[in-house]
Amino acid sequence: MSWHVASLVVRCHPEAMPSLQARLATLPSTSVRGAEGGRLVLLVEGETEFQLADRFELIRNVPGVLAADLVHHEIDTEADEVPDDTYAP
Amino acid sequence: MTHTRREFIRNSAAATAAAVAGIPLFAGASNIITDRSETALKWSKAPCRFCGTGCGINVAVKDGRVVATHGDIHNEVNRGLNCVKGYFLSKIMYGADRLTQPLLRKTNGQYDKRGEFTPVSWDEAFDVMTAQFKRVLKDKGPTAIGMFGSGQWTVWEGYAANKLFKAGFRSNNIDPNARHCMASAVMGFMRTFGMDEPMGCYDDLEAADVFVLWGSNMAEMHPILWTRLTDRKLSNPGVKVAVLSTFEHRSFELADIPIVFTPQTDLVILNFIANHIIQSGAVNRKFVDAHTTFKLGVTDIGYGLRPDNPLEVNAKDAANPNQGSPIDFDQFAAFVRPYTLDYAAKMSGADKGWLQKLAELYANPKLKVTSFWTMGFNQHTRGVWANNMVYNIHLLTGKISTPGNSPFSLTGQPSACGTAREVGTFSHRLPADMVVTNPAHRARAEQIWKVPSGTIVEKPGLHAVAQNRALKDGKLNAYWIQVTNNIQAAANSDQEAIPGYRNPDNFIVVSDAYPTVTAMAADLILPTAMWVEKEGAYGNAERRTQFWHELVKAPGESKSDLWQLMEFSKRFTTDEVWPAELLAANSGYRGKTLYEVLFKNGKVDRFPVSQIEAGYDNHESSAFGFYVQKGLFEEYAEFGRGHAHDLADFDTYHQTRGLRWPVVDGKETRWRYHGGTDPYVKAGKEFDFYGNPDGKAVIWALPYQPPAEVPDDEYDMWLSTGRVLEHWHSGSMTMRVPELYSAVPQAVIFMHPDDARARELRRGQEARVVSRRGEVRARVETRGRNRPPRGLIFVPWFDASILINKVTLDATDPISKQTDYKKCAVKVVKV
Repeated sequence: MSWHVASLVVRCHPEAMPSLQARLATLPSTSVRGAEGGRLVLLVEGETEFQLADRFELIRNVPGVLAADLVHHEIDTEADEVPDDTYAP
Repeated sequence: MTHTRREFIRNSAAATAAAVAGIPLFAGASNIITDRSETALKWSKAPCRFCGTGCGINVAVKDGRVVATHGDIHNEVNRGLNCVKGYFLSKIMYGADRLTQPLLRKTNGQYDKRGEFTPVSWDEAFDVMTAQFKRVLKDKGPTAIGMFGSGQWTVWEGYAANKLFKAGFRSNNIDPNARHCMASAVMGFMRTFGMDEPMGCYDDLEAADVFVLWGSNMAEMHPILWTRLTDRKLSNPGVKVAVLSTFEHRSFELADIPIVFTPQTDLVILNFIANHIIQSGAVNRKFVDAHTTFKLGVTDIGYGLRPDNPLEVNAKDAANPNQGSPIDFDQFAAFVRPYTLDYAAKMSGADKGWLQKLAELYANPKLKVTSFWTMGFNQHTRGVWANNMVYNIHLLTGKISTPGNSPFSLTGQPSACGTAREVGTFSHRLPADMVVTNPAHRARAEQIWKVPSGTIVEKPGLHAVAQNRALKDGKLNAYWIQVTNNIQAAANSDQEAIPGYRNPDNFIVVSDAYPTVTAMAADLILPTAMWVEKEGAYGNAERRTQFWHELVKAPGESKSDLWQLMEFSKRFTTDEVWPAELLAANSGYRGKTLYEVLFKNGKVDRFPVSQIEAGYDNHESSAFGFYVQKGLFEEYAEFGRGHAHDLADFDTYHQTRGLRWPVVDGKETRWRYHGGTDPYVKAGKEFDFYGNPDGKAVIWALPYQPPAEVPDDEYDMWLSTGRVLEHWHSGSMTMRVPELYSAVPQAVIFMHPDDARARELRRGQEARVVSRRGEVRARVETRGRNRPPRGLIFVPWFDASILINKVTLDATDPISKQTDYKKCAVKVVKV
């Protein structure tokens, strides 16, 4: 099964950032990875590009989002590796 | 600490975004950037295929397919960002219904206009097409053949088409779809500055104190520029944004000054601002006296409708709508004096306080102002005037040609500037702002093109709207359309375009990658290679020329428009298309094919295929045996070099992320007409509007006039049309990307909830939109991103199943011949 991940940069009024950050974090399969001065870095993942596109629309329509642009998109079609603790230092 | 592969990908995606945003990631998250994907895939640069912004994209190819794209962090236009449309660029070439071979309407094995589309070889396709063009040329001559092209043509495709029609077939009936989007901007520039395209550039976004959007929804239509504007505002709290529109849209979210006005009254607001600047003593007299002149324009110019329309019959200036007579500053001041705040508020319905505030921002000598506009100004029966009038404001205050002081006309298509305008594919134009009506311009073009004196015809050809009318009237009979979807795009299509295409006297050829409604209305469809399936060049809205290589092979038998044009030219000899007198005086041209005269002319064919960068295919050059794109570009560049349209040499553009012309001594030009930044400004001058012989820009006195059609008792609503973010123009490409299709599957009727209630309509219910010309059905939307005031509806036009242009009016600006898609009268009726 393929797995899609995309990163976005969202712009908002700096004073609206804390509440927006909290709101965005509640969206499914979406995590906030950075936030400073009215800019937020979001990570969105899903099983299809279709899901991702829906999520972009959802993000753009959250009140307070002034701009939401994409940066990186990657598709992984291989199964994920199982974490191997034997290599842990 | 351990990482799974996906955790690694997550971290690298986040780190890339953080780098682009210029912020750190939260503690605990990894800042490692992986180049894993870079090693598995071959990455190359290309400009985005969609809008006129000209974002740089990195395109990844694997096994002959484009598999990924992302914003190019090294391109200063978008700095690593990408809007939703650009994000799905990797998919536009792989729609399930991609055309892969020529299709001809046939019955019993023969061409038949009423027949079914049947796959044919390129040879058969060109045989039938050639016979039809020759039939028409023999019967009626070159005025009965024509071509409709595009601001999505690459530079060399537009150049080859222009040359084939104007110098080969000796027909000026070639026009681009940019007529529908940029023609008013072009004529606005020409009338004020004597030279096309903006003086400023995107760097103004980081320099201005005030941004004014006139009829431009940048948040949805130019998202990356909008992000730059948002950044400027958020990092400089004093920066103000004014947004003017006939309905509220997403760009209003950032507006300090939101102004919704009655359609067409932007003209009143513009003159009010000019009047305010004069009355408040804010005129920059030093600038105005040294660098401007004043003109009074003719006003009884009609509405570009058919000549028998009552609005045209008595319009005494309709034949010469571009005329004006000199006046002075005092006469101009007297002209705009009636445009008071009270009058502007009464006419526009806008709030007085906001209007006053807007005028004060323009007038304040301490503030740098950038005005942006797109279709709200250009698709306007007085669109050229609106362009002239916004320049008036910038000229009266001297807020022009310096960083942040910028009247900036944005473009809709990726090469509306680079191809349609700079190459001059309009029915009256030649490259580098020259026109067919000027004997010196024709002579220069003939010399560069190496064709005999007298080859280029003096009379302008049919423009876009006139072409559809001539098709319907049986005056234009052989017609070729490339990279555009004009059945969907042209106004009043039920009355004009569709009967024109299906007129039994006419043979219609459409080159496209997909079966658009236009292709389905044709007699012959030619499958086209698109975007990175060919080597290309685009020119964006800030005069930036960008190149890309052919990265993947086009599917099936698809070939680029350039290949199609050049291959077609082999099938005609000068004896068949040029008059006897011209050949008698130039016997060396006898018996040659148009291909030999225009392309294998010792100039276009002078660069060998060995000069193509290693590792890239080039299907046209392989076919013709020389580096086609380089030869065409270098010949084309002759027009502009030394004439303030200088382009760098061909190879430079493959190495850079684009350069803004004029490129002189290897340096691009960011702000034109200013002594410090433009090498063409005469020594010692601070400003020099050298497009005009006297070096001065023209301030035009022009009035408010009503539109061609206004709501009345029966047709009681304004209709405005336009785009939405996810879809680009007619949707021929974006509607093929399932993700985009699902985001906004169908066009809806955006309307005010009270208007819906008054018609017993609920959100989601189907309704009829009816005008005097046609009707469509669509669902009502009373919420969401577009919020019209009472009395106006907005319907996007991307949806081929809801052809809103059956309803619109084909009124045009009489000067630019551009259609007004933003205003006509309709009624909305419950089904």
